[in-house]
Amino acid sequence: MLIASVSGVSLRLGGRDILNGVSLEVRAGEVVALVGPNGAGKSSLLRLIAGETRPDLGRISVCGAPLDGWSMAALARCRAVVPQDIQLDFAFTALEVVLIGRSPHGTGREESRHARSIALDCLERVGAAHLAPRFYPSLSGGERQRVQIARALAQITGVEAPKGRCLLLDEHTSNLDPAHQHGMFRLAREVAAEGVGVIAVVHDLNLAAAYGDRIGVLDQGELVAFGPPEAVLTPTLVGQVFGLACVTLRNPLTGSLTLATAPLAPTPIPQGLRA
Amino acid sequence: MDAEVLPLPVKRNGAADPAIRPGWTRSTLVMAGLWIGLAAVVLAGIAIGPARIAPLQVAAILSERIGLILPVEHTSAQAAILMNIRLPRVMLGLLVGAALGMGGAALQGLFRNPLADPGLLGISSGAALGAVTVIVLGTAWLGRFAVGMTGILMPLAAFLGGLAATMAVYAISRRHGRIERGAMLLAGVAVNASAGSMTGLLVYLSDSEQLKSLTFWLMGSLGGADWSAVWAAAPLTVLPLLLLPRLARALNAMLLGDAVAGHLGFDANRVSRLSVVLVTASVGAAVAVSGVIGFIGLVAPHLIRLIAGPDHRMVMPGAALGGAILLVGADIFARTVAAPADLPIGVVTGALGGPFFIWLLLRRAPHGRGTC
Amino acid sequence: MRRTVSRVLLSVLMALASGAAARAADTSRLVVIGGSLTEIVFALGKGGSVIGVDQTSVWPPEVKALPQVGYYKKVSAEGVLSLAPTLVMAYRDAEPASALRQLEQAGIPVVLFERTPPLRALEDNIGAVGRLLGTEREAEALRRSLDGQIAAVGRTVAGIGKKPRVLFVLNYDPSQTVVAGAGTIAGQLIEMAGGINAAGDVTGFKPLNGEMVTAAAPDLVLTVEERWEGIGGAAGMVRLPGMSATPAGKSGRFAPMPGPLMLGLGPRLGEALRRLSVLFHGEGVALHGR
Repeated sequence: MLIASVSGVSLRLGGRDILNGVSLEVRAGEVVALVGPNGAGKSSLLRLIAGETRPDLGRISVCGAPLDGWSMAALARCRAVVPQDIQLDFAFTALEVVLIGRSPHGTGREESRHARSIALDCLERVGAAHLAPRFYPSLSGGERQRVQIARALAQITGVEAPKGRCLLLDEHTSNLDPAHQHGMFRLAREVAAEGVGVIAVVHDLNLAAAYGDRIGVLDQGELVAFGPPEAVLTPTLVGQVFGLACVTLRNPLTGSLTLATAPLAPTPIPQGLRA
Repeated sequence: MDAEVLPLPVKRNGAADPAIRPGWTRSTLVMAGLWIGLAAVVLAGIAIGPARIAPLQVAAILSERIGLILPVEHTSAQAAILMNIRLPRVMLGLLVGAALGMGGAALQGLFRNPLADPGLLGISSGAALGAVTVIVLGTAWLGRFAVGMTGILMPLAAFLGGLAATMAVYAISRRHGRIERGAMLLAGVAVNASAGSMTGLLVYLSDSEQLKSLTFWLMGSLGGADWSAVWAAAPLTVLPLLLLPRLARALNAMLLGDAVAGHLGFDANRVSRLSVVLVTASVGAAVAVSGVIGFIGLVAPHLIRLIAGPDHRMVMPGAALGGAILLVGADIFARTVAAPADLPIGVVTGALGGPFFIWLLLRRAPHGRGTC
Repeated sequence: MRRTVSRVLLSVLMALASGAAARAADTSRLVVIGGSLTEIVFALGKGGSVIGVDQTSVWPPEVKALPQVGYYKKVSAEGVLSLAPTLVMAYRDAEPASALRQLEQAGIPVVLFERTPPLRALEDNIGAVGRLLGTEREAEALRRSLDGQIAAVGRTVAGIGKKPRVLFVLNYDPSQTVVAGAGTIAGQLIEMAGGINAAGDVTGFKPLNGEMVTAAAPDLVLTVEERWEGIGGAAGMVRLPGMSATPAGKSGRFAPMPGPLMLGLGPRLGEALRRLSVLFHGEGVALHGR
C-alpha cells in the first residue's frame, strides 16, 4: 500500500528553485530516509508531503488520496509530523504536550478514556515516561525532542486508518545523544513494522544506512538517487553530492552498511598563514 | 487532560493509574471555586456601598422582586439604590471583567506571549481616541445637541474607534491572506502610538471642561453604569464569552506553532481571525461603556495559569470568571474607600495589580507555573 | 433624527418639570455640586441646609467639614443618596449623566444650572437659586450688590490711560507654563479689572513656550494662591522659561490669587475685581472709584 506518492514536484520560493521535478514513493511498512547537504530541499520536501505548503508543479498523494482532497482535520487523523524545532514557553507538562497530539481525534467519550493511556504509552516508547509530570520548558533539548516524537506518535496510535498512516520526521534526533539516536530510529522501524509509512530527514548517513529501507538523496533540489542504501550510498555519489571521500564497510556489530568518511581533499592552508 | 499528573511511571500493560479520581479533578475544583467566588463577590457588591443597607434589607428588597415579601423594613430609596444603582453596576462589572479576562487569555494564547493584553491590538487607544474626539469636537459639530447625545454618542464612538484601530492592525499584518503574528504586534505598537498622539492633540485642543471629562474617561469607571449601559454592552460581550472557549483546543495546539497546529488539523489562520474579531467585539464594547481599565486582561489569565496550568480549556473560562471577580471586587473597593466619592477604577486595578504582579514574579519557580 | 429631537424635547420638558417641581420641593437637605453654586447658596444664607458638597466647593471655609461626594465630573449616585438629600443642585456639565438620572429615578429632584455665558449665567443662577430656596429678597440684594461692585470697578478703570499687561499662569505643572488665554474666566476678569490679557492671542488654557512668554511682556503675573508655595513663590515664578526677561520678571511683580476666585465666577466676583484693580492700578485708584 502506498503511503505517500510524490510525482514531478517543483517548488519555487523567493526566486529560488527549492525543488525541481522530484518523484518518489513510500510504501506502508518502510522507512525512507531523506539525506542531502544543507539547503538541498529535504525539509521543504517533507513540508510538502505534510501538506504545509502546496507545490508549484506536480502532484502529491498521502494516505491514499491527493493532498488537495484532504481536509486538514481528516489528514491530521492519519498523518503526524515531528518538526525540526518547537518553541513552547508555557508550562505544560510533558504529558499534556503529548496529549495535545490527540487533538485531531475529538472529545468523544471513547477518546477521553483512551487518550491518557495512549499518551503515557507513547512516552514510554520514547523512554520518557519519567518525564510525564515535568514541565516541558524545564526539559533539556533532547528530552523535549523525545516528547515531541511521543506527541506525533500519539497522534497516529490507536486509530482506524484503512488507507494507511504516515509519520514524517524532520531531523528528529538532532539533539539526542548517540544511544537515544539509535533508540529513536529503532522506534521508527517498530512503528513502520506496524504498517506506518515513515519518512525521516536525517543528516547522519550511517543512521540512514542502518535504519532506512530506502534512501532518497537530494542535491540542490533534485532527487539524484532513490533506492536501498547499498545502491545509493556509493563513494561516487557521496563524493559528488557531499564532497566527502568515503569507504563503505559492514558494521561488524549489526551487519548494516556503514560509511567511513573524510573530507575530499584537504584544503591547502595559504602560504602566508602557515605557522 | 484534566486529571492530576501522576508522579510514577506507568506500566506498559496499563496498570492502574492512581491519579485518575473520578469527578474531583483539579480543574473541577478550580472552576467550582471560581463560581463560588463570583457568587460571593456579586453578593458583596450588592450589599456593600456608601449607602447603608443591612443584609436583611438587601434580602427583603431582592425577594420582593420575585414576589416574596419579607417582614423587614426598608425605604424606597434603598430599593432604588439596590436595584437601579448597585445591581446594574455589579452586572456591568461582571460583563466588563469577564470580557477583559477572556480577551486577555485569548490574546496571550494567540501571540504565544503571557504578557499580551487586549490593548495590544489597539482597542483601548482607538476607543480612547473615539471618546476624546466626541468630548472635544462633539460640541463644535453638534452644538447643544451634543450635551444630550453624549450618552449614546460616546460609547458608540469609543466602540467604533476601537474597531477601526484593530482593523488597521489586522490589515497591516495580513500578507497573502495569512496573519503574521510578529507583524501584528508591531502594527499594534504603531497604531497605539498614532492613536495616542492624535488623542494627545485633542487633549491639547480641549478646554478645561472637556479636559476634566476626558481625564476621568481615560481612567475608567463603572460609575456610569445603569441598566441601559448593561443592555447595550451585553450582546457584544456575552456572545464572544460563549464562542471563544470553543477555540481553546485550537489555541492549545497553536502554542506549539502554526505549523504544528496545521499538522494537528487546525487552521491557525482562521482561528487567529476569529479570535481577533471576537476579542475586539467584547473588549471594544467593554471599553466603550467603562473607559480604559487596565491590568485585568493581563492578571486574570495569569492567575488561572498559576493555579490550573496553561490549558486554554481551563484558562479561558477561568480568566473570564477571574476577571469578573477581580473587577467587581476592585469596584467595591473603589466606591467604598473614599465614600461617598468614587475612585476611578483604573487607578484601583493598577494600584492593586502592579504590586501583586511583582509579588507573583518574585515567587516564580524556574520554568514552573509562576511565569507562564 | 426623530429620536434625537424627541430626546431633546424630553430633556427640556423634564428640566421645566423638575424646575416646577423643585420650586415646590423640600429644600431642607441639599447636596450642591459646583463650587460657585455652593458659594451662592451660602451667600443667600442657606448654608445650614447643605449636607454635602463636591470637591470644587471650597468656600466658605466651613464647607470643608461637609461630606464630600467626589469630583463633579465623577458624581457617585449612591454616594449622594447615602447622605439622604432632599434636593441636588448641580451645573449642567456634571457627569456622568447616568448618575444624575439615577438620582432622579430614586426620587431626588436634580436641579441643573447653566455655566455659560459666565456673567449672565451667574446673575441668572443667583436669581434661580433664590427662587428655589425661597430667598428671593436676599438674591435680589446680592445681585444688586454685585452689579454695583462691577459697575464701580468699571468706572474706575474707564479713566485709566495705560492699562497694564497682565498674564495669568496656571502653575500646576512645573514643566509647562500654562496661561489663561482669551475665552477663559481669568482672561475675562483681567479685562474687566482694567488690564490687558497678555496672552490674549491664544484661546483657552494653553502651555506657552519661553519665547512667547517674553514676547507677551506682562507687567504683572498672576497665579493660583493654592500652588504658590509649591512653585517656590516669586523666586520660583521668575525661573519659568522666558519670565526673567519680562517687565514683571525684572521687577518681581508676581501676585497669587485664590483659585476659585480666578477660575470661576461666583458671588465673590465683586471682591475678585476689586482686588485685581488694586493690584493693577494701585490702592489710590481703587479708593477713588468707590
